[in-house]
Amino acid sequence: MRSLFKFELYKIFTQKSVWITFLIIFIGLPLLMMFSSSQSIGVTKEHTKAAYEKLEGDLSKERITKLQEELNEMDVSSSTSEEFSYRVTLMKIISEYDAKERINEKKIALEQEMQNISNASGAKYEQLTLEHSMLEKINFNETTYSEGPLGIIAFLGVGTIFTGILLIIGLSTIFSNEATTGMNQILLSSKHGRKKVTSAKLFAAVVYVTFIIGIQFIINIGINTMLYTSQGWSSPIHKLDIFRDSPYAFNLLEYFSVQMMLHTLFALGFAMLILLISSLSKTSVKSIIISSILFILPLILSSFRISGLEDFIRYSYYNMMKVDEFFRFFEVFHIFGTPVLEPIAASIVFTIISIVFTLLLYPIINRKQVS
Amino acid sequence: MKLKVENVSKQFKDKLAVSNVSFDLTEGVYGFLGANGAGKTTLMRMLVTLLKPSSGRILFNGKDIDVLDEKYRDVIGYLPQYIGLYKNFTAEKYLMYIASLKGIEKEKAMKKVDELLEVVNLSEHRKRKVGKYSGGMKQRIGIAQALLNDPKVLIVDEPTAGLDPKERIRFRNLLSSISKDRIVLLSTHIVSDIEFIAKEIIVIKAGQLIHKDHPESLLDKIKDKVWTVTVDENEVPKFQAAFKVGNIVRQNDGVGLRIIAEDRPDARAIQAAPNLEDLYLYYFDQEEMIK
Ligand SMILES: Nc1ncnc2c1ncn2[C@@H]1O[C@H](COP(=O)(O)OP(=O)(O)O)[C@@H](O)[C@H]1O
Ligand SMILES: [Mg+2]
Repeated sequence: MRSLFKFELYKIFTQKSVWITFLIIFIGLPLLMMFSSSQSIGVTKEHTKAAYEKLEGDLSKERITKLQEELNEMDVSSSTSEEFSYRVTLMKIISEYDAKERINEKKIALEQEMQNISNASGAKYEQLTLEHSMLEKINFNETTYSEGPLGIIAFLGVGTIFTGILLIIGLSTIFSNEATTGMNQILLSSKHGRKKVTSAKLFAAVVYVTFIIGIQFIINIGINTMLYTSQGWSSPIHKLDIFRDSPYAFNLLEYFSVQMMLHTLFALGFAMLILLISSLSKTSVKSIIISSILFILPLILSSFRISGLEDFIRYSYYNMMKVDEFFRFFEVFHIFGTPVLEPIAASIVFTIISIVFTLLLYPIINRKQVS
Repeated sequence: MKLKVENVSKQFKDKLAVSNVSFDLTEGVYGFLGANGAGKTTLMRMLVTLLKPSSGRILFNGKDIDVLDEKYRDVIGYLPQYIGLYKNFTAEKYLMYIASLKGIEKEKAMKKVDELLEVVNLSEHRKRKVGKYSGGMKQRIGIAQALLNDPKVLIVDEPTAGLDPKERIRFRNLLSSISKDRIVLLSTHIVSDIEFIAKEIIVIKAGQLIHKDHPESLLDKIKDKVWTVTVDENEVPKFQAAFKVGNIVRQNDGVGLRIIAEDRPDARAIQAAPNLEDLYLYYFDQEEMIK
C-alpha cells in the first residue's frame, strides 16, 4: 500500500501540465502582487502605515467627530502623496466607525423585533436571539493598522481560482489516464489494481490538495508580510467592506483560520468530485472539460445575475472555496426547528456529499470493465 | 489445477463476440487460434476479469473467479494485445510499479525485476523510458510484467506480434520452459508460434469454439485434405480461384502449390502430410493467414 501510494504521488507530480501551471502561477503571482502594490497612484503603503500610526486608537464618537472636522478642514487642492495617503486613511477610519454604528443599529432593531414577537420560544425568536447574541460579541472599539492581514485574507479571491485550476489539472487524469494509456488492462487484472489502488489514489489526491494549498499559504503570508508587516491580526473582520454586515465576531486571525479550514475542506470535496468524474470518463480530455465546466460555469453565470440561479451559484465549489460569502450576512437553516448557521450547515452537508463521492469510487472501479 | 470456461457468452451492443463457449484448461500450453475478430481477445479479457461474461461463468479450481476476486487476480499474469505503458516511466520503475500492484514486497520485487529484465533481454535498457522503446521492446517488457508474480495462469494475447524471429524463438522457449506447472493460454494467428509447444489447440471462429484438441488429433482430421501439385506458372490464378492455396514455391519445373481440398484438385496432385498452417487455412480464409 505504501509503495502504491508513492507511485500514485509520483504520477500526479510528474505531470508536465502540473509543473507548467505551478510555474506560471507561483512565479507570476508574487511578481504581480509586488508590481500592483507599488503601482497604486497617490496612496503608498509607507505613507498609509505612517498615517495609521498617527491615527490608531479607539473608535469613539468624540474622536471620530474630531477626525471628521480634521478631514473637512484639509486642503484638497494640492497634496503630496503623504497628505493624500493620510486623507484616505482618515476616510477609512471614519467609515470603520460607520460600520461599528451599523452593528449597534442592527442590535437595536433586533431587540425591537424580538419584543414584537409574542411567542418567545418559536423558531423565529430563536433565530433573532442567535443573531443578537452574535452581534453582542463583536468588539469593534479600536482601529489599528492591519494591511498585512487584510491582504492575506483577500488572497483567496484569486487563490480559489488557482486552487481550482491546479486541482483540475492535477487530478482530472488520475483515473481516466489509466483508460487512455491502456494501463487499465494491467491494473484491473492485477491483485491490488482495483481496491488498494483506489485508496492509494485517494490519499495521493489528499496530499496534492494539501500541498497546493500549503504552497499558496506560504506565498501569500510571505509576500503580504514582507509588503505590509504582520501587524493588526486582532482587528475585527468588519474592517473589511464586504464584512460590514457580518454577524460573526471574528478578528482577522480567527477568520483567516476559519477561511483556510473551510477552503481546504471544500477543496478536498471538489477533489473528490474530480476523482469521481475521472473514474467515469473514458478519456482525460472529457474528464478535464467536465470538471472545468463545473468549476467555471457558476463563476461566469454569477456575472450575469440571472434570477433563479442564486443558490446554484452560492453553493458552487468556486463560491464555497472562496469562503467569504458565508460570513457576510446572517444566514441560517432551520434543522429540526433549531437555527443552524449557514457555514456550519453547508460544511456538514458538503462533507457528507464528499464522503459519498469517495465511497462511490470503490464500486465504480470494482465493477469497471475495459472496452 | 483447472480453469473451466462454462457456457460463456459476451454480447456487446449489437455484436455477439463470444458465443456459448465451454472448455477446460489444465497445466500446459494452449494455443488459441482464430482469425482477427474471432473473439480471442474478448474471451481472454473475460479470463482475466477485465470483462464480465454476459452469461455463463468461469471457474478456477471449482470456484467462480468473480467470487474469488483478488485471490484469483493474485495468481494470473496477463499480457494484453496492446500493452499499456506510462511513457515517462523507466522500464525498471514500470516493473516495480506493477510488482506493487501485484502485492509483491519491495525486496522480492527488486530481485524479480532484475531476473525478468535479464530474461527478456532488456537489462541494459532498464533506465530508459518505456515511451522511447521500440515495438518489440514494449512487447518484451509486457511479457516481463506478466511474469512478475510467477502466475499460475498465464494469459498472453498475441505475444509475438512485433517480435523479430530470434526474439520469437526465445519467447517460445521461455514459455515451454515455464509451462510445466502452469496453465498458459496463448492466442495467435501465427501458426508457428504454437506448432511445437502447444499441448492443445483451441480453434475459435466467429465467437464459437470449433475445436479443442491435441495438435496431432486436429491434424488427423485433415490428413487426406492436403495436396501438393506442380503446375505451370500461368495455371496458378486458376488454382487460386478454385481452391484454398497455401504455400506457393517456385521450382525448376514450374510452381509448387500446397492446396487444401476435400478431393484431389488435379490429376497431378499428390497427398501431403498436414501441418498446423494447413489446419489454419482449412478453417480460416487465406487472406487472414500470416506465416
Ligand atoms: N468493446 C467492444 N464493443 C463492441 N464490439 C467489440 C468490442 N470488443 C470487441 N468487439 C467485437 O467483437 C469481435 C471480437 O473481437 P476480439 O475479441 O478483439 O477478436 P480477436 O481478438 O480474435 O481479433 C470483433 O468483431 C470486435 O469488433
Ligand atoms: Mg485480439
